[in-house]
Amino acid sequence: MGNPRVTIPSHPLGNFIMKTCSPWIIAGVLLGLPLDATAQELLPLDRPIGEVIDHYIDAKLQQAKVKPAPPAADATVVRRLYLDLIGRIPTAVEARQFAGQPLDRGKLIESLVSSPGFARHNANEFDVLLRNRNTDATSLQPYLLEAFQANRPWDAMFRDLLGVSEPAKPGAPAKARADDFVLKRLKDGDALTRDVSSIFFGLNITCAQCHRHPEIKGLTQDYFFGMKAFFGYSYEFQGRLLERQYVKVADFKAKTGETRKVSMMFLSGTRGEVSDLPERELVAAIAEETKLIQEKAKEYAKAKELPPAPKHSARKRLAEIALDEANREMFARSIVNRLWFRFYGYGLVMRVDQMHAENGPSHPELLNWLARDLITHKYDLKRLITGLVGSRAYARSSEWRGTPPAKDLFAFAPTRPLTPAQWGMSYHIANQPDVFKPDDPAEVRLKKLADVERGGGTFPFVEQPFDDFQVGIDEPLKLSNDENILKAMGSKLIPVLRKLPDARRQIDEATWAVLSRPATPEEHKLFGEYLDQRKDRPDEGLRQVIWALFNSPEFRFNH
Amino acid sequence: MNKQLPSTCGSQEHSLNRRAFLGGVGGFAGGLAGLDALGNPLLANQLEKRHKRVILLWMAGGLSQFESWDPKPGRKTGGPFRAIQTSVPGYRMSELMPMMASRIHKSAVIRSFSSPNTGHTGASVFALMSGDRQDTGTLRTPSLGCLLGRELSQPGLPDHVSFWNATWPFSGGDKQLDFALFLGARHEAINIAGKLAPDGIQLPASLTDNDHRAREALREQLAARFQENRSGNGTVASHGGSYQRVRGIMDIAGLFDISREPLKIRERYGHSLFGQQALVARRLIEAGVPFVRLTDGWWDSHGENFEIHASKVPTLDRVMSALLEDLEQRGLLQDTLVVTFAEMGRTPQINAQRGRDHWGACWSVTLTGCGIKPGVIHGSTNADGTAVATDRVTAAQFFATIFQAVGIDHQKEYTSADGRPIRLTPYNTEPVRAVLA
Repeated sequence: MGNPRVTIPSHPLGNFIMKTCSPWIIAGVLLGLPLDATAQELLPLDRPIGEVIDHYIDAKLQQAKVKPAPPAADATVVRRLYLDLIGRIPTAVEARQFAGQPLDRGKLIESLVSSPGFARHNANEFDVLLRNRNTDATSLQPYLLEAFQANRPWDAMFRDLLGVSEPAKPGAPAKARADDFVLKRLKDGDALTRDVSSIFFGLNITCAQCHRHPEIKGLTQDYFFGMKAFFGYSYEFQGRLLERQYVKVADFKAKTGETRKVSMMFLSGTRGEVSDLPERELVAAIAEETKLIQEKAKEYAKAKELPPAPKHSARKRLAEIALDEANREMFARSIVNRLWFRFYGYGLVMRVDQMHAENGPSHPELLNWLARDLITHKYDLKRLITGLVGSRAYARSSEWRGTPPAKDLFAFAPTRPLTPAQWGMSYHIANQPDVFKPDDPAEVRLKKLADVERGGGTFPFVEQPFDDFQVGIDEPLKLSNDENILKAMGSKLIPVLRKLPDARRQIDEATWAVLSRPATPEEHKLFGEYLDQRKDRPDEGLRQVIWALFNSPEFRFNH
Repeated sequence: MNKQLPSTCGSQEHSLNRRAFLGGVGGFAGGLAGLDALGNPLLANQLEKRHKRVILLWMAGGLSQFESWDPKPGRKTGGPFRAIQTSVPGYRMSELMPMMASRIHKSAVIRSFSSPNTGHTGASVFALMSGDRQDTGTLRTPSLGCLLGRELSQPGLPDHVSFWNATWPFSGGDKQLDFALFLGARHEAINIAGKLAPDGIQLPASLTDNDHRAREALREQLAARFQENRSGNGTVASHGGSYQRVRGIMDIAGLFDISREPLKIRERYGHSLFGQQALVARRLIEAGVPFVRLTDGWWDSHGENFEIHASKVPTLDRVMSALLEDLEQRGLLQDTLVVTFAEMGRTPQINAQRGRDHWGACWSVTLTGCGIKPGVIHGSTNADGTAVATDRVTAAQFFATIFQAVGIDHQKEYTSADGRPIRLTPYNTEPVRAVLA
């Protein structure tokens, strides 16, 4: 068969052995990496992201003859944007500002992504992403907060996390540690390999650890061990992530029984060897390097001197290969798909860690366009996020009468459970409406918000959602019967409501505070009758109305 | 469709509360233990057939097999403790477990358990908790407890209760290591950490019973409106379902109260939190709760392994033997399977801190009671305990054995959220027939 041959440009680091042979390129194709993405006829580069999304989504809806849900109410879109961009609901004061006038969504998005909450929320979200569901993974929140505050591009963050960024200039402020991502996983190289491949390239290759991937024909054990080899040189020295020049090239036992040599190989099949010393010289070089490291360790308390860095860094090599022209699309597509999943409730490729040729995207051109846009704009995540929430598809109603159409049509908006961080912040915001006054100057409001955030507290009974997430019994038991929670819930809201002249105004204010919208006529009737029956103990009546609002699914979900 | 079965007290309130547990079955009202339903022949038949229960004793952190079920005295890996003769001729256990040694002829011990996991958290433990499946790729499958809770579910009772005598790892995200996933939230554990009863099981003092109900009715109305056009969303449905179960769980608060037990029984279990939780577990099991997990924490002895085991193993010995004896005396052991398990065993090598590290290659698990052939010592390790010598048992085989012992076909198929047919254990898994009665 005609194997396409692709020449990878020679690398500045001359003594890397660049091996490019056709089977690997075939494997690259199998992994869903377009050989030449630009050859596809995509919408032009300069179109707004939101418009491009709607173009491709609408086309498929028409093809499927599905009429999408109508736009969501403005108050719903406002709440959705607050939760998605800054991780909390709007305060009652903020929410009310948008009532009674057409919503300028672009302006709201712009103001939210420029507010401090944007960095905080994304730091939380990416911290969860980078944990990849390892409960004992170190939190990288401090680093991520700095990174998002500086709108650091995703490729630069990738290098930071691999510990291969240029070192900070002397005198520059100390940066929070990003390379803990690798350092704290060194003791489990298999998990490190799995997490790097899934998070950054959308491909969980765990099964190739023991056997050929059952669905992706080209994905053999060589890939798993090839990716793992990029971390084979890394070691911890006095709490730092360093790399050796020489290591013994490991063998792995293939499923077929043969023993095979591990060599560095990226998921596309691109190889990167660091050393080609003959066996005997290598053994001696390893021994010498080990001795040197041990000596440096002994003297470290006094000398504070690190062992020399290797001439060629394997992790740096990984970053170079992953971000080079031939491979970077994989890197871009993975983060596009993960962010799409976050805002649209379902990936363009599902599952998000199974992005390979035999599991294609629902909207291939859209994914290609978005990945190309991200690359063109230097991996600017703020631009991507701003674009993703700017489409009509994003702002549809999350309700659907009757049997809903397939999720990958994106005909209606998702109803997503809040994360623990979103729930906690929203609870605090709703619970103390007295803190925020309509006439607070912007800087006063920012300071107050920062105070509220600091007092955020933790609510361990609210779980981090995941696929097939189910709300268990612990959460409603706590929220229904825990005296401390019941005492706090509404404690600052009730005095505010009590100052209002009538039940109608109280109901409206409580609904704005908790659900970020005015009360419906049915709710006025329901709550009005309830409060009327408790006229003799009005505080308790209000407390229970507030409890019902906080415990309603409308508060618990981003809808 | 919802044919009401007679309630013991006839109260509409009760039938409403208990409906919460029933899911699709509809509103049947059972008594406290679900046993009053025996008055109904159809249901009695069903109970008789399925009324099996499981207690999982989980040694969190990893109990050392050398200091318990598989001692190697006199070997370089053996440590300082002696081995003592047990009630099974030829089988010796650590001297730290005299009580279990005298009744081990009623249990089965597997000394050749082997698993790739050597971590406390993360994907490999989740894998172990659902039987180390190699056949489902990245699709996560429910844990043993959630599967058993569902299969052995009893009307009117929670499916799955989980006790922890330590707070670790009961904090933050993946706290339970037990996930129901697509089975649904009603199979998730009720978690009880560091105490005897779940949080929020009592009516709060600040509310009257009527206000508590009226408040929930108010919430229900808001929820109904929200759910109306989101019927296909399982997560939204689970939120409502869990709120509906709150009153039902409040109704069984008395089961968690061990002050109702005779002093003699309480003494037998001892005063450790683990022991007291075990006594609550027995009360729950007696009432018909199908799955209870008891997690005993702090076994992770990387340093001072022998001191830690000298202090902890005797408590395990006491609690486990008390639990088994109590179940036996009440005639419950024939329907109750008691399992000991952990994330891992401990290394044969004794490290520089006199500790033992994480070890998956060969360690011991035990099975007692329902469906188990008593007195079987299955499999063995080599002289130093560094490898399986005979009859290696994998997690999948172990789980298949557990399912079989309580009368569940271990090859039973169910469907994942993405429509894949999945068996309870991987295709072609064979249970360990040698330990099955």
